[in-house]
Amino acid sequence: MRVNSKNGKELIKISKKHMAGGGKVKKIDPNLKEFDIVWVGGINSANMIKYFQHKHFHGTMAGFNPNSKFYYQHLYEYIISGNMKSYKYSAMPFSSNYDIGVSKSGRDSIRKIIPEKNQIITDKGETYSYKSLVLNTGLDQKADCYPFIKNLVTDDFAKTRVFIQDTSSMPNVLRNSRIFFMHKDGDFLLYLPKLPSRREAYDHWYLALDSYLSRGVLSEALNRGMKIRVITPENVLFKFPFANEIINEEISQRTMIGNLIEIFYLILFNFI
Amino acid sequence: MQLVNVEIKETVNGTRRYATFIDLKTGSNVVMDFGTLLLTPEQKTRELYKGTDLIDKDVINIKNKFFLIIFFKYIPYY
Repeated sequence: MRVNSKNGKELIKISKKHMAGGGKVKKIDPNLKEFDIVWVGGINSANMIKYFQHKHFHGTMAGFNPNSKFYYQHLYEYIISGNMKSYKYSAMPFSSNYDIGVSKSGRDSIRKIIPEKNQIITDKGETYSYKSLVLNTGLDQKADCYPFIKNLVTDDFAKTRVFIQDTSSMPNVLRNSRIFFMHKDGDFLLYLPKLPSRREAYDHWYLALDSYLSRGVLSEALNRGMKIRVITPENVLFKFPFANEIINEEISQRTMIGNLIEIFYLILFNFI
Repeated sequence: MQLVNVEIKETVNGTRRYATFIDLKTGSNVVMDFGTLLLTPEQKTRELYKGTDLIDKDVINIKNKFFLIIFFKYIPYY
């Protein structure tokens, strides 16, 4: 890029942004309603859009997500202590994960899909069409299924030390991160619900609890007889046999390591 | 085992926390005391998919193969 004076004299010459990356960047029309690919979902959608941009995908793309930022339960303590950097992008704003000048970022929630017409309708009533639709929404996760704990998960100071893995509300997220630091005695109980579940993707995080809690044991802040108990009404932890085999092998190895610091994983299935 | 109740009791020795589970095979109750209890809510299909044939009941497999077909056929790599 060149900057010239009024009489045509060249004043400065600087390299054009992105020139080395494949030529001029094609900005997307903010009013565009027809896209080659529409991504509906969370942070994985954003990362896929970023990947397609990186690969110089020439079609038009749009990502739709009503949440501005994502928090995953298993990241609270580890992000704070800074030892899970590989997950840092998971807790970033959706639109900051890719170039929103090149691909559209929609803050709308998708209300309806019409596959016959290749269209989606947002909660604002706007219609967008696609050639390819990628669904990455996950499941609906609310605490309504446990009415008996309604009063136990609403105290701000979390003295009950009962918490729900529901990342859709910010006060709940803050309360949960506080509870991680408040665990000081007794066993750490982890209850996994009936399948289907999103835990195929994310709920392996409890395997990191022993490393977190072992610091407390070694510093004598926590009871040496403390156990991590994982309880589920299912006969398996994962619906996929291979994943189930891997996770149980991992847990059995952790238990052997855990003998040294006296933290045990007890998996209590329905048949036990 | 399935969680059926959670109880917090204040005693002279401090707070006691109990979770009650039911053994689905025998029907007997199992009470465990805990220091911290983390629950993952049971998860349901999102409203977006209700009444559609896009996914199966477990929300794991995409039933409507048309989605996959258009995904592979129409991605316009130039």
